[in-house]
Amino acid sequence: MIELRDVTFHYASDDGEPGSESGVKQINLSVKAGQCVVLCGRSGSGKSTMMRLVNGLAPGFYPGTLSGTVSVGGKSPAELLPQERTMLMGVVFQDPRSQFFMEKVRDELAFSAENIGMDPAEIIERIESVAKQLGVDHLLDCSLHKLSSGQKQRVAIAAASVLNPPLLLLDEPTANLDQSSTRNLIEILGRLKDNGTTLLICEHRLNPFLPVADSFVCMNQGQIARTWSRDEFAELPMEAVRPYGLRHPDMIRMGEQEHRETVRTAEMALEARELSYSYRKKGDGISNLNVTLPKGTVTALTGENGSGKTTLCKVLCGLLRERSGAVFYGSARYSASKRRSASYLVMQDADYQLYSDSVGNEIVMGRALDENLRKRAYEAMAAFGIEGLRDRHPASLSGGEKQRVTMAAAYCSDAEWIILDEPTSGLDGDGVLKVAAWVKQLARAGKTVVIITHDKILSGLASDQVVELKAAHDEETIFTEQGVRTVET
Amino acid sequence: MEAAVSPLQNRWTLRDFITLAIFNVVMLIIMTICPIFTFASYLVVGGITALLNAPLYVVMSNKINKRGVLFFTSVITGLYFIAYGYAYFLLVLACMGIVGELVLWGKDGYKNPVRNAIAYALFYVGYSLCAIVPLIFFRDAYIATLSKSYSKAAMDKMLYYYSTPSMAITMLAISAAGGLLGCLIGNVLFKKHVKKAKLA
Amino acid sequence: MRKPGPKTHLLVLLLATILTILIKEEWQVHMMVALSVVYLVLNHLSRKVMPFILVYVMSLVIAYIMPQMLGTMKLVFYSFARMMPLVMIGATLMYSPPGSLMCVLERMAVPRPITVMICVLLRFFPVVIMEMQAIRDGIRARGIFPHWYSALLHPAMAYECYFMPLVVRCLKLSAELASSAELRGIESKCSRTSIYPYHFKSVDAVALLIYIIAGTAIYGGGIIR
Repeated sequence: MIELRDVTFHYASDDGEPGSESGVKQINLSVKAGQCVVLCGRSGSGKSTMMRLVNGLAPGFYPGTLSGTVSVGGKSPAELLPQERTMLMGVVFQDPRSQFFMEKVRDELAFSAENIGMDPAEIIERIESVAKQLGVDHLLDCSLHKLSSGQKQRVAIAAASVLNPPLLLLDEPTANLDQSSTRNLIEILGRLKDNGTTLLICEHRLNPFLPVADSFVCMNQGQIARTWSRDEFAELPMEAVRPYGLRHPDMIRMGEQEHRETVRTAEMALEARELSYSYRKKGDGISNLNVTLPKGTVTALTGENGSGKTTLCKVLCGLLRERSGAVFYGSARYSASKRRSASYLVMQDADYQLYSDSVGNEIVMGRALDENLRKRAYEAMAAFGIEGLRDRHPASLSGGEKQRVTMAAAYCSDAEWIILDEPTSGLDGDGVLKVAAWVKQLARAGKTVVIITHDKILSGLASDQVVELKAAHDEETIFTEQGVRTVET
Repeated sequence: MEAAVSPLQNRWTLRDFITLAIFNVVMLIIMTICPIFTFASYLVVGGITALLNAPLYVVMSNKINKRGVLFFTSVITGLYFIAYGYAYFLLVLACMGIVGELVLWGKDGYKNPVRNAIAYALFYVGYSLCAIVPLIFFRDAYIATLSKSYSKAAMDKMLYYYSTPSMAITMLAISAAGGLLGCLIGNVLFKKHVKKAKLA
Repeated sequence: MRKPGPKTHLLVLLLATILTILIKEEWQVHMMVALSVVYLVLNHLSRKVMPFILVYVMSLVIAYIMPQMLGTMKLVFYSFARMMPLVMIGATLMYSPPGSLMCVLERMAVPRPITVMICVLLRFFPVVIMEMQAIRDGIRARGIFPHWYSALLHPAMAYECYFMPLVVRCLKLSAELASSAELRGIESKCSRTSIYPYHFKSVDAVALLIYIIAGTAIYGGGIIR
């Protein structure tokens, strides 16, 4: 199905995608029809370039020089006519926000077919059958922006499968999904594979794919470093994959080697007492929540999508005013505006929070620059390893560097508590370890840290306590060193 | 793909169109919100909108840098207003767009900040013109309805308040000024941020 | 019952524009608004009727109670009210499925790039609004403007804080959208189809007929008086 022989590709010049993508060298890869291959490797190792070569966007959309042969279904993808390419492969991108063209699910499923001029009756028939197969038929008349991330992902796959393409390409499909949605996704992929579809997936979270993958191809610095079959990969110990920066479930034990202090009941703690908030439109939110976050500790906030984690954090940050209940810091009650100045939220996408024209200015933004602040800023830059980037424009940095800048700004700020929203969603194994280290650094500096995360590795490595939120019941389970204590509200 | 010979250089790719569309969405949102906040003075709406939208326009035109950016922007703005029922906007703005394109004729017209600013200012003059048209048009109709309830003497006195020429000229001038000033600021922001980060 | 298609919306809009130019009396404008209400209901948009009528009534009221000194402002509100029938018909265009709108436009020989841009416009309006709200949240989350009035004290900095994230997000969105569009066959030279019927159906004819008859009645009524 896919055949790459001696393929080398270099990007022409930066076209607005700074620092992230490198080319690939001497690639030889062959994927048979009906197989499922997972591409893994560090960020920047060339996985995305491989995907682009296969779907034909490189060298057309992304200019560059290509040598060697790329053949998909017997033809070179870059030379296919648009309608041929659409019928040959379906592509699912990582970010649902930027791949949906329509408002309603049914229209979205019809989009590709309408583009190539298919007969309307046939389109309608195909929509019904694909929707049934992927379990989205009850969503057909729903509006896309009301769906959860898991549902959006399923709709995206359905939209890519309407034309029954023999090849399906997926770019980090589990990045925004919680555990049950990930299981759902794997099941759907299994069904598609049984139908004969070839799957090529680019991912960081590799273990969930064991049931459906046939082989794992690891990239490093633009070349294929290792290839493992499914069984080989399942047996791999952590040491074998660490050099390639991959994630491994055993990473969680790395934290256990450190001396674990018991959770101190510090003098100061951020407390939420009977906190409630509900959204006017959707009616969901949080109700009667009690949570204690001691100063200088790291708390991981987990739970299924939609259980209220983001809502809780927005209330804690003062972005939303609570409907009832209160937030206390120490013994003082903090109003919403006071919470805003005492808190700092690091959003999932760093692009939303970088405003200045140099890293240095970014870190001290909004405050008068005096000697004290300057010292703190240098300290912050040293702690996160970004001194060398001081005069660079934040928008020219890579994703990981941008994240470090926002964290350094958090470190340097006067905020008492810092909340990080899904800091590791698109990161490889090395990235997860680094984030865990930085988070602990923030806690050592005396901040109270809360991380919203689905990533078990991160919460196992970095957190002192885990709080899990459940939708509808708003039950709370607190894991301490001693065991599990379930608190019902 | 890489040759960048002149016939190819002016050919718009799908990516250019979508960049244009997305930036225009932002500019249209600002265009829609502005009148709500500045309702106090109808005169300055055009100017303030031009001011706020200018930096975005500067980034967009430098990123795409092909002939037709202003024209397509005016077409899209005109089409947007059709959805509000103001169908004639399309005609006026399209004409202004063509005039603007003539100002920017030649290679790299968009990169020249002065010419870009003039063309942009012209576009917003056109926009304000569109806003004035219904006033002028409905003025006669409104005065006709009023003349039924007021005497001639009172009407003559009131007509003073309904005279639009001076107001119209002031509006156009403010829009043009807003456009020029906005482009100035836009160029500063562009150099400081977008060029430094090598995004465009 | 099926709704009329975008072609009918465009035709009705054209007729309405002509009618708006021709009519002179107050009551005619009221009748036109009523007609637009009928049209909206035909299009299954009854829920949107109330807000429109509210705005219409309010504009007229404000236009009347304003002192004569602010003559031009009165004119502004008055012309706003006058355009209301057109705005309502325009709403039917905005709420029709983008795919069917694209198909109709293409059959009217509008070039493919423009239909794509219209589709992006319709689809990304709410997305961009959400992005701008997210940027605002990001600014507040960083505690740069601690009080609600701080932003007003530093307007230049506030604008700059919006500027960079907005530009970066727009550029990123456009790159991702464009690659997604290309892979979904938007550039194909085949003529587009739509799952919604694009030929003239009985519903279209009925709606058009109602509008023509009612419109003529309104116009005729004005002449007779």
